[in-house]
Amino acid sequence: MHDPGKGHWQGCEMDSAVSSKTVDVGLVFEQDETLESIFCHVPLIHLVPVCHLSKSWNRALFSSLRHFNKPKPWLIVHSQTSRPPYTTAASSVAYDPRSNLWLRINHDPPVEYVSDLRSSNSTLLYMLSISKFSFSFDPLHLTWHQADPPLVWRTDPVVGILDRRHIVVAGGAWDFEDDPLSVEIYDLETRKWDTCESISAIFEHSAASMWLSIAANTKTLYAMEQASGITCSFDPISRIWLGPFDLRHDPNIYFSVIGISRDNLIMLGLLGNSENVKDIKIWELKGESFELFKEIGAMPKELVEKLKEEHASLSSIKISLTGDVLYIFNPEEPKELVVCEIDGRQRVSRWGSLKNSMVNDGGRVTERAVLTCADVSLGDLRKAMKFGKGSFSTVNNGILQ
Amino acid sequence: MLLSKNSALESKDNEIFEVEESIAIQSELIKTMTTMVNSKAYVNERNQMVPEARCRKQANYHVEQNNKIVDEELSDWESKFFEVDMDDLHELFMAANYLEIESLLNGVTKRVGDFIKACKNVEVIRQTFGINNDFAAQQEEEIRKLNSWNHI
Repeated sequence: MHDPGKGHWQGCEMDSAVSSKTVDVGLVFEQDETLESIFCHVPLIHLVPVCHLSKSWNRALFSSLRHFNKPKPWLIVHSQTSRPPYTTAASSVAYDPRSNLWLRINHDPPVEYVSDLRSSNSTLLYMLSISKFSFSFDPLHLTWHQADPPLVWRTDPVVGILDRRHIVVAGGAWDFEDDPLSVEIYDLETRKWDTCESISAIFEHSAASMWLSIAANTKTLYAMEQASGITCSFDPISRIWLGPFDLRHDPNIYFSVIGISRDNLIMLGLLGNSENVKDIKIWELKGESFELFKEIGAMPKELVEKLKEEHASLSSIKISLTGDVLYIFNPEEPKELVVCEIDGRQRVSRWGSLKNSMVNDGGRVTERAVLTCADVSLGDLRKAMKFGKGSFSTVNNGILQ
Repeated sequence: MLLSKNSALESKDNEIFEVEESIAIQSELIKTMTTMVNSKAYVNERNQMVPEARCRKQANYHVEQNNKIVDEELSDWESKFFEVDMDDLHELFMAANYLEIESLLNGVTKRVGDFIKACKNVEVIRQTFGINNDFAAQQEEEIRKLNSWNHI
């Protein structure tokens, strides 16, 4: 048999650098392609020091994150005791789907208690009391802002953040004299509250965060009555409410919530009835009055069962989403979550389930869990560490099936 | 003529390994060569560049991989196989790269990733991999702040 040719062997020569000196190892792994594939296997939190190693490692790192294993939206579970003395927990747990890893985030200093912790449209965390409005919208929720409360005292309003500049507060008014549908808007730059057009009278009995689901993209805020599917939209510039629109194209839906995925309005609905859930589906809604709807995914039956857990019924659902990842959970049974990913063609491409690390962690039964979702970048992690606002530690791996 | 399809691979140290052909062609390089020489009965290749220890490891890796059908067993075995120090890892990497064996390369990159995960801070990573710092002095300040990160 003939030698395949010397040509093949050229460039393959291993020179005498093949020694067992550790100092040469860096050179071996220095090739960009190799480093890029190595970084795919390293969780984002462990890649923070890699930014500072050398110029070539830094370059390979950013290329790897951009083209190979991209960062994915994190789910963050915040806890607050449901019994006095109330203290907002000094830690939260976060799930990084890119590496299937749970992390504990320690807040330093701990978040000061104002009132019940709530979350809204997936990205905003807030506490509202008679004297203060405290809120946070950075990805890891390490920075809290304090503001005066709205002019009308509200116990359980609907709150939504728009374009990182405006916070809209609607309904939840307590006093008989107050308009139960009143709406106020807070400007983060001027730090002032302004009253605007009241929310539609159709929400007369349901203008509270218990009954309405909120979603907001940069231009519009949407409020949907979970039990009926009736929805109104709000434009922060004109300060006008549009609607009501009926988003339920399928009469079998008994409960629905809304969210924004890549700037599009999506709706998740429970079909059947609460004692007998037939299906859980997701639709994308478009058009001026949302007359265009497209089913983008249906939850596999075994995951529907996981959400119900030991309960025979499923009376409500909550979602937390950003970008192309959607986390779904049963507020009565937050032990198991369902996760799905929406692909570039706006269809659900992957379904999975996830054990809630906060619930499994040392039996914290008396703590209320509040969930948010955010795009956490390497820059966000670097900033958190740099300013000493938060420290991170790893928890057991979440089991994504 | 051989009854079973075996490839004889000669390593740099002139030692000959008999490996089943189905295993030998896991290496893209050997596969290409086999196709090129168009032989069915037996193949004798000169694998001059790869020192003996590596070649043996390759053969072992594949034989074991094929034997372990159960997933759990395989992943257990794989984690033990890659539990080597940086120098051995470096050798495995060179061999896997040269012979173009994807599964082996994947295993090595994962393990190197684990090394990075285990490093506590920038300095430790630099020492482990022998990286030269070519950043300006102001970066050092940021690094010192990062070094306060701790993990379990």
